[in-house]
Amino acid sequence: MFRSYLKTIFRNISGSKVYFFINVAGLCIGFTIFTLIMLYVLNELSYDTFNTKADRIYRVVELQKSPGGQVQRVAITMPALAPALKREFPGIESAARFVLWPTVLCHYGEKRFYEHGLSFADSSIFDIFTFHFVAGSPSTALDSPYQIVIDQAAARRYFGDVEPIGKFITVETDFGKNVFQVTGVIQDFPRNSHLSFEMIASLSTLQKKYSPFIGWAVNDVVTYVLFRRESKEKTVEGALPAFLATYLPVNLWKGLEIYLQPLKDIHLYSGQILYQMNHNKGSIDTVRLFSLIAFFVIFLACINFINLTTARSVIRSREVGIRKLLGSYHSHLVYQFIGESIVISLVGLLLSLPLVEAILPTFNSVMQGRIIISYNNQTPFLLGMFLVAVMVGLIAGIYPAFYLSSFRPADLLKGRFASSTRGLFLRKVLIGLQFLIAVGLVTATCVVVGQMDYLNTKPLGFDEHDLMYIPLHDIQSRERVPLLSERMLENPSVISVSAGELTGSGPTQGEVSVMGANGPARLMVRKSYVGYRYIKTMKMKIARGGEFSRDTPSDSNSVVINETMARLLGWANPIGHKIKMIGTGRTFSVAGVVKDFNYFSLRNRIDPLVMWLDPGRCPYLLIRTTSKDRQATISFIRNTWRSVLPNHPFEFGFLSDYLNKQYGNEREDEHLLILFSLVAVFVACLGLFGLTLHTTEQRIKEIGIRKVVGASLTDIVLMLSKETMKLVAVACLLAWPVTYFFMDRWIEGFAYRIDLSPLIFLLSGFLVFVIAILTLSFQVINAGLSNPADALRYE
Amino acid sequence: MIRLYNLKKVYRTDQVETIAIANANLRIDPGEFVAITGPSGSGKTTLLTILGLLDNPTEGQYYFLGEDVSKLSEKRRADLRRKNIGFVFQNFNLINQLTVYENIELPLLHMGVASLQRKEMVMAVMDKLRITTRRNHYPQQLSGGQQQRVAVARAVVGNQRLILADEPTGNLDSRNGEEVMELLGKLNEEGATVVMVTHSTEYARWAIRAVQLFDGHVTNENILEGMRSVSELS
Ligand SMILES: Nc1ncnc2c1ncn2[C@@H]1O[C@H](COP(=O)(O)OP(=O)(O)OP(=O)(O)O)[C@@H](O)[C@H]1O
Ligand SMILES: [Mg+2]
Repeated sequence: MFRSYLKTIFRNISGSKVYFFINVAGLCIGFTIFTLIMLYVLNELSYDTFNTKADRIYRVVELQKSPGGQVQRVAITMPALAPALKREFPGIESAARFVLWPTVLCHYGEKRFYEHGLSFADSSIFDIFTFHFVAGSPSTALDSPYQIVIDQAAARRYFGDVEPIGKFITVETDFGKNVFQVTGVIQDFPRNSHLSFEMIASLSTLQKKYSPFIGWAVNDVVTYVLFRRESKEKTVEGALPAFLATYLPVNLWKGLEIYLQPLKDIHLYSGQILYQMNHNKGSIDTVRLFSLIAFFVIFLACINFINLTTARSVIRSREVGIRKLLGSYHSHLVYQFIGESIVISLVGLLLSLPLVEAILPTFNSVMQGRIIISYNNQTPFLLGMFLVAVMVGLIAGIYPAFYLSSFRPADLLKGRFASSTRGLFLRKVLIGLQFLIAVGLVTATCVVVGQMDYLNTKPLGFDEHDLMYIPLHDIQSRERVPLLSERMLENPSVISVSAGELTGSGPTQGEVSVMGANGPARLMVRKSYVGYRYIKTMKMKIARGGEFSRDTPSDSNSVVINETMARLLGWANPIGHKIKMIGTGRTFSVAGVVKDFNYFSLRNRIDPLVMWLDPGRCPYLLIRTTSKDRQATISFIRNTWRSVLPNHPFEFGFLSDYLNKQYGNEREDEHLLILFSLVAVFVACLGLFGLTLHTTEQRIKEIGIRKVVGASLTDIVLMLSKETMKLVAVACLLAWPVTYFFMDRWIEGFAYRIDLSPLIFLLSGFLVFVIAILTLSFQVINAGLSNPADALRYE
Repeated sequence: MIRLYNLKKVYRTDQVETIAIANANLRIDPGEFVAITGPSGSGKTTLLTILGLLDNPTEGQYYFLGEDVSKLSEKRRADLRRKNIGFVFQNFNLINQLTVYENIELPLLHMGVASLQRKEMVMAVMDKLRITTRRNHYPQQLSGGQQQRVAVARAVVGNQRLILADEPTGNLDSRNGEEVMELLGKLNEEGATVVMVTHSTEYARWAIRAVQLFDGHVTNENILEGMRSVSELS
C-alpha cells in the first residue's frame, strides 16, 4: 500500500519537475539561510555562558547625570568600588577589577611582539570567571605586583617548548619598562566571551607604579562581582545609593548612580553603555533582525509549498478521488500528504547541508570569525534542524493535506474536478502575505542602505583621506617626533605632521570637575593627548580660540574642548574657563573650542572631549600627505623612520582604512541584510513563478478562446497580471506603516540619521512591483503570443 | 442486495435547494442487471453515488446487504465499499501515474491482499479482459476502449459483488461500447450484480430490468425483453 503511495508521489514529482524543483529549492534556500543565521544567533547567545557561575556574575555600570541633563552610562568605575562592595555586602562572594591595556611591546630574549591583549586584574578574577589553569595556581598567581598569567598561545609564542613558569617577560608601557614573572598558564580563553584574556598581569602593579587605580577619584577599571549562590542581587541593588553616599563626598555622588548588569546581558544589551572593554560587541537588534529574516525565508518557502500544492491539486484530485472510491480512509490520505510534505522538507534540509558547508567559511569571514560554533559535530544542532524541517513539513503540509484529501469521490461521477476557484482566496491571501514580507524587507533594506550611505558620506568633522599613521609604542619613539616631523616635512608630498591619537581608537577617558553654568559638575569626558598642529593635521575646524602652538608656552596648562562639552556645561564662551582633572588635581584653562567631530562611528553621539597637549603620551604619528604618488611618499616616510629610529620596526596604516575597520561589523551586517533580503525576495519570486506557470497552464484554453474572439497580446498580459499587481498594491499599503514603525525605531539608534521620506517607501514598493512583473512576464507574454489553434487543440 | 425506502437526496448550495431524488423506493436483488435511464438532470448519477456509498441520503433508508447504511460514517462506508463495490465511469478515472497493472492492483492493496495472491488475481483478471499485453502501459497510452476495460478489471478484481457503472459507454464508439457491454453482461452471468446508468436504449437492452427516473422520481420499472430474456437468466 505504502509503496503504491510512494509510486504516485515519485511519478507525480517526475511529471511536474518544475513545481517540485520550486518547492525543494525554496525550502533548501530557506534552510540554508536559517542554518547560517541560527549558527550566528546561537553563537551570539552563547557569549559568556561557558562560565560555570555565569548566572551569579554582574558588571557594575555607572550612571552619570551631567549638568546639561544628559545621562551617560559607563562601564568603567572607581578602583575602590570592588573592595568596598565586597566589604559591605555579605551576599557578594567575590569582586574583581579589570583593565584592558593599549597595545604594548613585550619581549623575552630575542622574541618581541606587540600585544593587543594585555590586561591587568585582581586575582579574584579567577574566582569569578571560569579559567582552566595548565600551570600555576589561580589563588596565588596574581598575588603581588609584577606577576603575569598568560594563555597557551602566548606561552608558545614566547617560550616554545620551554617551561614558562618563573620566566620573565619585559613589557614596555608608557609608564616605563617593567619585568613580569610568569606565574600561571591558562588554556586559551573561549572567544565567545565579552572579555578576552590573553595576558593578565596583577592589578597591584598598576597601583604601585601608576598613580590612579586607587581610591574613588577616577573611573578607570571595570568592576565585576560574584554573588553567593543563595543571595539575591536585588537586595543589594536597593542599598547601592546609600552605599555610594557613605563612600563618596557629597558633591560627587549627587550625579552618580551605579547598577548591576547581569553577565548574560553584557554582550548583546550594552549598546548604550560607553567605555566598555569588550572585545566583541554584539547587538540584540541585529540578532532579532536576522532571526526575523530566517523565519521569513522559511515562511516564504512554506507559502510556496502551500500555494503550489493546493493549486496543483487539480492534477491530483483524481488520484485522491479514486483512492477514496476504492476504500482509502480520509485520515490515511491526510497522513500520506503530510508525510509527503515532510519528506520534501527533509530533502530540502538535506540539500541545504552541503550548501551551508560551502557558504559557512565565507559567511564566517564576512562575520569576522564571529561564529565559532560548528554545526557538523553538534548532534543537538543537527537534531534541532531535523526537527525544524519536520515542523516546516508539517506546517506547510497540513493545509494542503486536508485540502487534497477532502476531494469527494462522488465528484468522480460528476466528471467535474476541483474547480480551481477552491482555495483561490487563501492562495491570494498567502501571495499577498509574501508580497507584504517582500515589500517590508525591501523597504527596510532601502532604509538601512540609505542610512549607511549617509553615514559613509557624511563629513566626520575631519579629513580621513590621505592621512597616514605610524604607531609610537614607546617613549623613545615619541621623543623623536619633532625630529621625524622636521625630516618628513622636507618632502613636498608631506603637508603636515603631528603626534596624536587615532580617532576611534581605544577608550581613553577621564573625569573632570568644573564650574558649569548651573553650578559645580563632575563629568566623564574623552581624553585626547595631542601634539602640536594636531587639529591642523587632522583638518578639524576651530570654533573659538586657537590650537596649541609652540609659541605659547602656557599651553601646557591649557586644553581644547569640543562644542558638545561647551554645550553640556552651558558655557556660552568657554575660553578661559577652568577645568580640574580629577585624580591628578591639576587645573587647566580652556584655550580653544574645536568643532564637533566624530571619533567613533556616526552611530554614536559625540561625547564631551578634552584635548591636552602632551606629545609624550601620543600613541601615533599622523602624517598628512598629498594624494599624488602615494608609493613614493610611503617609501620616503619609511626611509626617514628607519634613519631616525633604526631599532624600531616600521608599521603604518591609513586612517580611512582604520575607520573602515571600525565600521566593520555594521558594514558586514548591512551587506548580510541586503543579501538575505534579496534571497527572501527570490524565494517569494520562485513561488510566484511557479504559480503563474500553473495558472497560465490551466488557462491556456481560455487564453486561446479569448484570442480567437479578438483579444490582443496586451489584453492577455493585462488579464494575467492584473491580479498580481493588485496584490502588490495592497501589500504595499499594509507593509508601509508596519515597516515605518520598525525602521523609525531602528534609525533612532543613530546619532545622525536620514529622514524616512515617502520616496524610500514608494521606491521599494516600485522595486517589488518590477520584480513581480519580471517574474510574471516571461510566461505571461509567452502565453499571450501562443497560437490559439495550438491552445485549443490542447486538451 | 439493495433496498431503498422513501429515499430522498437534497443538494443545498448557497441559495438553491435541488431535490435530486425525491422519494425513491427500489429493490435490487443479487445477480440482477439493472439499467437506470432518464433525461439529463433526473438524478441518475445521484442515485448511483448513494448506491455506491459515496454519499449519504438526506432522508429515507438504504439497506445494503441487509444493513441500514443510510447514516453510516464515512469510514464505515469506505470499509463496505472496498469489499463489495466496483465502479466503472464514463471517463474511466484511472490514475495516470500508475500503470495498467498497478491501477488494477490498487483495490487489492486497499483490501490488504497478500502480494503473491494479488499478483495471481490481477493476472487472472487481465487475462480474462485481454489486456495482459498492456500491463506496463500507462493509461494515456491506451485507447478509450482499452482504458474502460482496465477500469472494469479494476472494478471486479477483488470479486466485488456489486458493479456500478455510470454511462460506461459514453466516451466510446459503438464497437468499443458493444465490447464493454458484453463484458458487463458476462460478469453479470458469472454472478455479479450490475447497476448501470445509460442514456442509450440500445445498451439498456443488455439489462434485465430498467428503472426510469424523471425529476428525481422513479417513474417506471420495466422488465426488459431485449437481448437477454428472463428465461435466459434462470
Ligand atoms: N453536488 C451537487 N450540488 C448541487 N446540485 C447537484 C449536485 N449534484 C447534482 N446536483 C443536481 O441534482 C440534479 C440531479 O443531478 P444528477 O447528476 O444526478 O443528474 P443525472 O441524471 O446524472 O444527469 P446527466 O444525465 O446529465 O448525467 C441536477 O439538477 C443537478 O443540478
Ligand atoms: Mg450523470
